[in-house]
Amino acid sequence: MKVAMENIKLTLYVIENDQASIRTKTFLENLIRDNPRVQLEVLDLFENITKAREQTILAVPTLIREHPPPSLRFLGDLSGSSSEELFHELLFQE
Amino acid sequence: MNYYFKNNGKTLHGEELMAKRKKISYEPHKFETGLEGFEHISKGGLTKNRVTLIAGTTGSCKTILSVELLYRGATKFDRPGVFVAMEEDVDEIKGNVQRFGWDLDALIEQNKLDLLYMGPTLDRVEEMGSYSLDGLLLQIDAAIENIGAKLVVLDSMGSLFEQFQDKRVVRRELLRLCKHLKSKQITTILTSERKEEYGVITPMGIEEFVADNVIILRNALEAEQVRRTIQILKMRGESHSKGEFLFTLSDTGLSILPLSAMELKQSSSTARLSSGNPRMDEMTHGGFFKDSIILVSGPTGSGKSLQSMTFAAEGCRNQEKVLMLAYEESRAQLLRNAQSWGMDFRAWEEAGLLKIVCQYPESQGLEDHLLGIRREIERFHPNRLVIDSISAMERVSTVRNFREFVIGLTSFVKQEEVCSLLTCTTPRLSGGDSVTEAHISTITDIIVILRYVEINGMLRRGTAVIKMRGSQHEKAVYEFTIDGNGLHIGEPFQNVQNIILGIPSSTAPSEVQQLEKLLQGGS
Repeated sequence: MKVAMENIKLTLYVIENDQASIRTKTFLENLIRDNPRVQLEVLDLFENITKAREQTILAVPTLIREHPPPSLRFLGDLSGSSSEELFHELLFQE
Repeated sequence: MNYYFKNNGKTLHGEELMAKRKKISYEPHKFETGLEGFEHISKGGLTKNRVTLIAGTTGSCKTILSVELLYRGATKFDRPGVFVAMEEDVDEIKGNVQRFGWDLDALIEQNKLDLLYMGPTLDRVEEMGSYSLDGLLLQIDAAIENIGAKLVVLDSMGSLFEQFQDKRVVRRELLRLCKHLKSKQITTILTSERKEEYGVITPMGIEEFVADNVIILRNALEAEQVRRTIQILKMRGESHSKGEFLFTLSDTGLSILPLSAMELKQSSSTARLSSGNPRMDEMTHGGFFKDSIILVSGPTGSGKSLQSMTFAAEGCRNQEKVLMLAYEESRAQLLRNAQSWGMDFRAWEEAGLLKIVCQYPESQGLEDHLLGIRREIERFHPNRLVIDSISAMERVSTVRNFREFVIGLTSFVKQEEVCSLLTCTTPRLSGGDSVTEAHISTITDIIVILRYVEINGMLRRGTAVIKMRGSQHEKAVYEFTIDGNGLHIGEPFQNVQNIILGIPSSTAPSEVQQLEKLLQGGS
């Protein structure tokens, strides 16, 4: 896969102490532990309110695939993805 | 269940209960919005710290109304506000209201306004699992804190719901947001699209679970004219005017025209003004009252315009200001006709005594006409107003619209104490009345009729005062003629019946009259 060869940049918008945010963060951290090409930036909304405004972040948690294009958004705690394969597919889709 | 009766699980009785109730009702309720006519229909303005839903079909001015509430609040009452745009982007909104002269950028710079875009992005969005809308809530919060906002507008609910698949989540989060804003003493306005003018208020049922107040804007097409109305459907715990009120978009924004809400409390004057015709003044026992509304009704060519011009000219001669609205003639025609009767309208106009406005009735809707006339009167402050003819307006509108127009106009001129003469064309040459008269005869104070009378194959003209509030008047039908010097009222018709009511017929002279003739002839 071409996309999978590139570096992948993810941004996750969360709120401290929010259960869904904690779940998502853990899920993603586990997922990318063995994958050095994926960079994950976790931003707390309280501290990054201006950035959240620029990015029009309504839902918490929101995960944005910033790179490679096209930009993709995932809303929710990712519990909807039944397996890591499904999530992986979405993550690397073109 | 009545929750007043329970207080921390303890049941309240008697005086204690009354005190509790009183305390509840003593909260300050409404704040002024500064919107033309809104205070009138809402009996004081918007309720504080409540959620108001503005619902309407496409193009019914929901966004403009909500932006104007923010704009007026910020400029007139120094009340900062936040606009959360979910449908149009921020620049579009700024651009759309520029035609009203509202400089939103200046307000943003003065920290009186914040425009927050919370609409859909271009990104592809997937929903996976549970989420909250805390991002929206936090950003609104931050914007409020930043400028000390008191008013928040969310435009619109349709596009908020559109952004998410799980409607239950949006519903829950919206309720939480509104509760949060209430707890922060913020007044909230939500807008929502409707599919039809009457029926279901919002497809999402927002009015049921979150809104305390509901305002409905309508945008119906009637007789090829757009009829915009605003209705306050509910205002929880507060009184307000009921029913639909016309509004229009002028060059300064929204103007609500509260017609039927006007109260009949105008002061009344006993000072009289001359009609310009000495005989008419005699017939009315001293002229028209200064604040009265005179209806001159007659078929085409019977001298209505002449009478209205005479009335206007008399005002100018007495150094009074006169506003003339002509809906049937062009300006050049009017000036020429006046000239031929020896009235120099041009000179009076130059002297600032006269203002002539000529317009086609079809040029705009009746509410725009009404607003235009009101603005003209407020600017010019005339003592006399002439409308020639009011029945021309009738042909461009529905019966209901026309009635509202006349009521709105007459109540306004009464308030401003403008002596107003309206002419009205009757469809038939002799006798009969028109629809216009049927609608406005009860509102007018004086009715003067002009009629053709056919006697022995000759067409003659008759006039009579058939109604005059607060004064006696002559009851006879007088003959009048028109010549190069104007209108001359002569003697009452004798031996003719049914001049007003139908086909005139002559009767034999009475015995007294015959004896009088004999005696005159004999002396």
